[in-house]
Amino acid sequence: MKHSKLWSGLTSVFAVLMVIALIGNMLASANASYINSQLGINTARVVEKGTAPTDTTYFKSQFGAFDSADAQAKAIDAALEQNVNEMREGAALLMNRDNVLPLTGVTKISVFGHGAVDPAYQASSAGTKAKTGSVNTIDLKTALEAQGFEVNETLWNALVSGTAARGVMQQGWGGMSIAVTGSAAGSEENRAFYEQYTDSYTEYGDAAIVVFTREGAEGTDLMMQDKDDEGGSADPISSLALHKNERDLLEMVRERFKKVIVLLNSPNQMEVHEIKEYADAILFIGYPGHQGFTGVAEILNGTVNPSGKLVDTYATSSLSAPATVNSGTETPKFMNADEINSTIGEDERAEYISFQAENIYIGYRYYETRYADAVMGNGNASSNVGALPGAEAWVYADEVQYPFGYGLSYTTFEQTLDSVTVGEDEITASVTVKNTGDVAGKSVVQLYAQTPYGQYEIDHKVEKSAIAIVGFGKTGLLQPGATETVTVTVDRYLLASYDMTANDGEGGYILSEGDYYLAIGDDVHDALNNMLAAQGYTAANGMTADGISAKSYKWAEKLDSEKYRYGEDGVAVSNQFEDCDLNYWVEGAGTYLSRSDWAGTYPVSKTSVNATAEMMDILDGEWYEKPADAPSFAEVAAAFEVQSGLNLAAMKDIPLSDTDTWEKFIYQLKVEDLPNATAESFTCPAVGELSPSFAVGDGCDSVGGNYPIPVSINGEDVTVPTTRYCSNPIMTGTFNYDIIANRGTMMGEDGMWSNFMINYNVGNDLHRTPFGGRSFEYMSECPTMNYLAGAVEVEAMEKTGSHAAPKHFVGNDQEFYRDGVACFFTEQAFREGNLRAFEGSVRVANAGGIMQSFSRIGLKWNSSSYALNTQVLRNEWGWNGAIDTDAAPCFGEYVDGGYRNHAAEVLTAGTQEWCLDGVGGHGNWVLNKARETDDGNLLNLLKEAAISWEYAISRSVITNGYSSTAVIEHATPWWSTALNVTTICSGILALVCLAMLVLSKIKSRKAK
Amino acid sequence: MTMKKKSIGFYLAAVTCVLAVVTLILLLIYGSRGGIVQGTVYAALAVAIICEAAALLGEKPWTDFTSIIGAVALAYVCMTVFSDGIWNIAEALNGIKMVGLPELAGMNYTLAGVNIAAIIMAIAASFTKKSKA
Repeated sequence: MKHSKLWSGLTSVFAVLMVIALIGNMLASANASYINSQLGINTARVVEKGTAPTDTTYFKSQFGAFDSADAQAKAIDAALEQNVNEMREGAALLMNRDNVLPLTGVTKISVFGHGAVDPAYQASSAGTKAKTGSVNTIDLKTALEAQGFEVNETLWNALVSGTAARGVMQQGWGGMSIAVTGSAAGSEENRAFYEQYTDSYTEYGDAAIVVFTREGAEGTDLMMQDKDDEGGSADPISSLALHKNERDLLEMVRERFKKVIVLLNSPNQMEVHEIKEYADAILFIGYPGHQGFTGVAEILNGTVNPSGKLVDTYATSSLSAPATVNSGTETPKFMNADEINSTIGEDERAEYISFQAENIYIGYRYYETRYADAVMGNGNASSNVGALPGAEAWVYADEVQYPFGYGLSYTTFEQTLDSVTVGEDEITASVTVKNTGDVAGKSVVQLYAQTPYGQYEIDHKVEKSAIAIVGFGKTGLLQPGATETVTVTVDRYLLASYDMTANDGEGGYILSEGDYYLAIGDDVHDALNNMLAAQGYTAANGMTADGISAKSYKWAEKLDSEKYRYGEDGVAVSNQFEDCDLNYWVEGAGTYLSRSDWAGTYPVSKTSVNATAEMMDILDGEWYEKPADAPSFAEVAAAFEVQSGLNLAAMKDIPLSDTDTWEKFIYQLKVEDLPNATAESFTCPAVGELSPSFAVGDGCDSVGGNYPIPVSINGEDVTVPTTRYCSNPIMTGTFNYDIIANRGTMMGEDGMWSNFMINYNVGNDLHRTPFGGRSFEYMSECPTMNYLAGAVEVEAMEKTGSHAAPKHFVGNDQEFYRDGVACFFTEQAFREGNLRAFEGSVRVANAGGIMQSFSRIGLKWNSSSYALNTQVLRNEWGWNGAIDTDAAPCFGEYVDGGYRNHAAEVLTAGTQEWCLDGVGGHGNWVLNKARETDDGNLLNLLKEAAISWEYAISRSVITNGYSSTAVIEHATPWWSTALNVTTICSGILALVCLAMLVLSKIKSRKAK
Repeated sequence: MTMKKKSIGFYLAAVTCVLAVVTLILLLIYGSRGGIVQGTVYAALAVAIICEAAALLGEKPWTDFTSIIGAVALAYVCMTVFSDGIWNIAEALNGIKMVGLPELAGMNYTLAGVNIAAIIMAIAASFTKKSKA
């Protein structure tokens, strides 16, 4: 080889290496937070500079010291016990023909269904992933065997090596395949598969357990128009309907087994009417997390008496909910979507529109209200509009299989409404529960309310659900014949309705005039029947059963628009979301469902419009203008870099209302440090010398952390992940405040052991339809249920040292097209639905933060809505937690413009952190813009963001070990140093080789 | 240049050139399906194709330099496309859809594979003569 070729080749090698290292370094720096979190690297550490401090473990685990293996083991055991307890009390027994359950005396069983061997322990999203064989995961077979069942090994092994699979994300090389998660097609083996193993069924024939699974994912809803299995329907079917192979399987097991039990491994409401034809028992188990199957097995053999209740309505047709028309996989585009894209750019993600025609009528609020009106003969409720296909009339008994709050027990209970006290702010109901059966069990007391729907409400377009849950309680384990009195306290605020016309058109909450009813019941429908009975209605009026009026209580109220007129700090509650009504922009564009005319307002087709120029201007997302009275950049900046001697430990008891001290604390920073206070990611960066870098948790059923001390398993040191608890509908379905609170406590413990400052982990969004891809993470279909459960979970978690942050605030009720989808609704529906679902967690329990959603409310991205983030959260609710966007990474470099990149608008709206922006790209852009435009207002907003962030940090486990004389020292991660060295060395070597190449060329030429 | 005069470097450059053209076609498809492709990537790819094509003219005084430039340009293309597609890959691995296009992850892998092959060929070509003396 000639010398010139050697140098040429070596130059190529080193130059290529330099380019790779250089761009790799940029990529790594942009994703430093993720790399650091995966490698366990902390880029800043707390160093004690004073004398030996006193105890600085401000936030302690209830299990002991964080460096104690014994304490860690106790924490892990307690978390797993919580996981099992959730299933024990949250699984809902939907059917139990001839008391087939519990399976007493049954030992040899056959377990069917691909979902048995490949269950969804959770769906794809944030948090620890449990899977068969992973640390602490108990699969169904292991759980059953631990409870004394003998499982048909032949069938089990066959299923393990079967070919059925749920939809998975397809990754064609050309991107030509589509993501098919959310489909149920092909998720079950066919009949021929099962018939190969019929010989084994005889020996293991005591009972057949059939597991059916449905699974969505983050970004993927279940399909409203799914394919059937091969040989099935040629027309699209709901993914929640039985598919052909499932139906064939049920037929086969019905023919061969005397006892058929179906387990619904799905947080989404499957269509169960066909299952009921074949099964003897149905048990809703949602997703079990790490060890929920233990609770399932205990229920099956009777060790545990089920006491869970449904938190969703199980309709005959999953597509009968009015919300399904314009959402999920059926979300329409704006009629001029192409024009929108060409006008404002595709990166604004403004193509899709979701007109929430259902108004306030989500879940049972639709089915039960329409039922009440059908009984009372109001509002054309019995019309066949919206009824099952081919029906001549809308009939509740045909439309609903299992109502909200439904769930059976192995015993029977008698509940008596002893007394009701209506106070100024609270209502108290006392209920005596007696176990009238012959086995011990727990009983749920469900308290529902009905508020008046009269002429005022019709005239003022104030919609009313005929019934809403307002409180609940649960007995302890009641022995046969034993009684217990349960007291349920109700906040009267939950009886208030939002009236846009109240207070001379300013809007506000009102208590309607007329008769109010409270009622207990075994479920929402039973309670409604009790209310209707009190109003004189009977089965002769079309009721599904005669109610018991003694289980209800009636009182009257006068119209009151003053009681809830003002928010936390005396701020008037007033209309903020008028522009989120589609009709505000295009007159007559959409009709909202109203109980005044069910037939005329039920949505029968999709709603879309041509976005006007004015609408596109707002969709474009750029509205920030420097205020005329904005101070100069220099004026604001002059206050910075002034040392006050305050450190994080000194701030941990300073209230946020002490503005002066907080400003003094922040003014120690350089203005260049401020963007780091807006950077939330897997690992959040240090903010100057004020706070260290730290990690955060993410995931509604698991914070996704790790315990710090490796555990020896089979001779290997293994890092134990934090627990994956049951899916949220199981937790909420316990109707047990103690269990819900303990979920909060344990997730706080998980967060502390993982050293997480905050956890984006409380799922307050609604199950707007049965198809939500993240229904497993969200609590229920009912806003007040989420309000009540969320308040308890968050309050408990905030008592630990790791904050709770509900998500996705607000209105993230669908996964498909969630990026920027423009959601339109009435202000009443938004306030009483989406907002109230979060209000318990945020306002009542004072969560440490929130994570927003990708969707738009009206035409504005949630994160850039001033009405939402400042008027409602800060002013009306008086809440001061940290407001974080959903994922808004900068892809290495912030590019101004594009859906998530309107940083000035977002900050001005009141949002203060950007998720997955570990480099502070958005904040840096704002800082630069403030400099370039001499805008002290933007700099002030960055300062406010820093105060908010540091306030949250100062109330967290991150302050542990931090005394008043401690300082923060920064460290460069080793991988960054390695990449820098590689870049520099390869660059130098490339230059040297290039020089040698040139020299050899010159030499060669001279030689010639 | 006659067949007799062609050296190993010629064939390596030819293969690099073909791989670069394949990369270009893949990138056009990738971009049309929503994948992020910066303008500089197309420019760098054009430079790479020209530089490698220049080697097909045989050994010239500037061939060593164009080989280096071609290899560097290909490395830039590879890393930039990979970097811009990192969320596609991350989300596909996690089974979620968030800010990337996970359905394009397979194409990201393909592009990276073709690109790496092109870079290796380009480096190998820069060590070798394009024509016999």
